Amino acid sequence: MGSKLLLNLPEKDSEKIEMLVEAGEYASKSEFIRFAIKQALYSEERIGELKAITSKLQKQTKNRKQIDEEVEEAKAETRRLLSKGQEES
Amino acid sequence: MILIADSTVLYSALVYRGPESRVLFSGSHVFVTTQSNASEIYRIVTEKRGLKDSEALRLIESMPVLVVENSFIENEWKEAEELIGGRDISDVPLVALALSLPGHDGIWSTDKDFEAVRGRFRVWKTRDLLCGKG
Repeated sequence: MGSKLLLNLPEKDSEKIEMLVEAGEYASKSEFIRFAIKQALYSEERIGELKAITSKLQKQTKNRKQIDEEVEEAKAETRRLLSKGQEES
Repeated sequence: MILIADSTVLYSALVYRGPESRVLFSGSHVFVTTQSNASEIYRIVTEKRGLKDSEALRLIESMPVLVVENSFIENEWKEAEELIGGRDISDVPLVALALSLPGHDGIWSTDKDFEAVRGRFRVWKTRDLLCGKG
């Protein structure tokens, strides 16, 4: 059994949710709220993963020249693949 | 705005806390790029930065950018090649995306080669996006 929450929503948001329920997009206002919370938790999880990886990459970055050189090498490989007519995965 | 983002600015935004990072994570725009550009980022972080395949995939999936399939841009490939292929063939996928995607607001890149398509699309430098002018 889940926990219950009492929410105070701005009138406009509440009306918009009601319209979506009436249009049959969601079975109830509760279903909409559950969906919105799941979406937000999923986004937070992704943001957390992104922060962890970018933080690791940022620590390795010495200067902008390094970035330019790395991208140029990657673009050279793209040129090679495209010139050969090879589709990248 | 809906912006078509080059790998140079995206990669810079991910690995360096600089102006590109402020634009990408501002939450003010929707960014779109191609599989080719995402592959470039994937190749750098796995081959140069030592990320595991799984970490690199998570990075690509988690960055706030929509990556479109190659099939989405293939119809505009020939025209894109005519527009920019003579300067740099690696820029063709992004221009093909700009030709394929309706309603976008331009290309975000610091690459001078995109000057070639300035008459056709708006080309945004990072500093223009930070100060809100194109």
